[in-house]
Amino acid sequence: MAKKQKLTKAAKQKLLKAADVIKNFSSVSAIGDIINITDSYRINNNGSPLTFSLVFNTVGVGAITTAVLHDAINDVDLPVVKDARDSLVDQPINTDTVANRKFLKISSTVAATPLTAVPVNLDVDFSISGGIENTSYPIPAASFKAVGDQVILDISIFFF
Amino acid sequence: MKKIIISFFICYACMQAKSQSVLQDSVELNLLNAPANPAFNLMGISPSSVERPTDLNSFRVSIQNATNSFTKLPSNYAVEFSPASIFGRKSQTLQKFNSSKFSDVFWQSFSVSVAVATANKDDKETNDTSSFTKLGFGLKVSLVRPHWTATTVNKIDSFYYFLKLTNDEYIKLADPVFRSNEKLQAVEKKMADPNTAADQIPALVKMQVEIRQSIINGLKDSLQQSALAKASADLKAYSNGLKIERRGAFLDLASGIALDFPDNRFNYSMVSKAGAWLTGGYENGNKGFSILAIGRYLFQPDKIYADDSAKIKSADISTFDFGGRLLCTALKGKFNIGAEAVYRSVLNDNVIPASWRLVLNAEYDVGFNQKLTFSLGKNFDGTVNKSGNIIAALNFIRGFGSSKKTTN
Repeated sequence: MAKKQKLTKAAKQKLLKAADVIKNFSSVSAIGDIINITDSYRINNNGSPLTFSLVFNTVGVGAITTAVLHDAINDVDLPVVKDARDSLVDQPINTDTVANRKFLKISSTVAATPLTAVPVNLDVDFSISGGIENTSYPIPAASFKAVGDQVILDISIFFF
Repeated sequence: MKKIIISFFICYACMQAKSQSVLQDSVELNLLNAPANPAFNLMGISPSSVERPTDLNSFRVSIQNATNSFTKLPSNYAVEFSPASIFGRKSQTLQKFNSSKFSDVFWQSFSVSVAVATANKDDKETNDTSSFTKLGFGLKVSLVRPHWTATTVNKIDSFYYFLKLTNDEYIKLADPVFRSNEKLQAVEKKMADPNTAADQIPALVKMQVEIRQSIINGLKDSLQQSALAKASADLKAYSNGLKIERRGAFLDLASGIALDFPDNRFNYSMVSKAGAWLTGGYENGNKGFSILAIGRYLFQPDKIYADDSAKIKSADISTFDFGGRLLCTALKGKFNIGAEAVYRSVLNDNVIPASWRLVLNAEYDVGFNQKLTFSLGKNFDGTVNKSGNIIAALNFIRGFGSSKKTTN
């Protein structure tokens, strides 16, 4: 019969720590909201470069953004930006002749960090320039209740 | 036996995780911090008069109970807030907190503090009628800020890695759903068709908005069963353990004014002191020694210098303080112990002798929103013929909220 071994204080603490880690890494989503921004943008169609800006104003948040130019007829995506960190200012999309009748599709995940004074609302500016006029798009309200909470921005802008 | 204990802990952890999910809508607050802000400092309430550089949230509260063995409610309170976040300073995202650009450092570190205290004319807390209300205002800004340590940079990289995984999982989940929705595909193909007239586009965009919203609503409903939920939960767990550590030279500028309300009426107040000070040195992060130095100008510090007989007219007196603090940080930044010495000389009156403040202070981060601070030493008003005046304070600061840290 196996001999009983008494757990040391250090071993107990290690087990408690492991339990904390398991507890923390649960699989309950911390996504507060998925925001839908769907709109269009008028272009000149004369070869002008198009750019977009996605600027996060909530203090201390981190963001990862991926964007493509989607051709719905041929079901082809042209990469615009992949895994860009935090705010993007005047990010080139392509020329308006290439972007004509295509969709700019952006997925951006924003998370509150210990530098974010939660609870706080997400404050983000999204705009496109290079076409007939510079346009800022309204972003529906979302908030972070605690550190680590996330908000996903799902953006689709049609160029014509 | 070990297996049984391990199983018990795992079950316990799972139960805790499950119970946490029920509380998802609760709002967590963490507003407490050790009483180290310019307003408290000027009023002589801070455990230390030589402060370390800090990363500031938009708002935090300090409460101090100076003595009395926790037998009464605290009488000293302070709030500290960041004008940049309150007044909407743009683009202060995570990575910008490692910027050395002056405008970023200025706005991220600029803080305003307001403190209220009840004490007698010698800044001592008493239980009798000799105590009255005091109000302090302070400003603080970093001129030179230490950079993140290599460990912190790695941790921040890992944070973005978890963020990328979450974003990738969202794309993996959402993209096939959008692509397989026949209505959406039909509308988007119609929009993309060069033969579709431009004046038809707004109506098609409206349809696209509705279809996409309906798809996103479906995604939200099925979120908890997806791999995205796991990635999101991992990101949250990692974010909660993120602790910013800085190392390098720093220089902070602070200033403030303290008002006394001798009869506790707001229409009668006196400026008890005002001043400005520079704190600089080398910040060594969450382990090892940090060295700090201070140079401080104070106007009309009419109480805190050695004048035992009170015969010297104290009005309009200015003093200059200079000194230093040696600080040792251990237990991953949870425990700090240090000693400070500050020499005070009177600038415009050579009758008053110079004096010293010598203090040993310690701080321990007990856990979520709980800090224990301790200080022991001789303040500026300790006179030789009285064998010094020992100030001793044991402060237990307990908060109401989460474990968010604004660390050095």
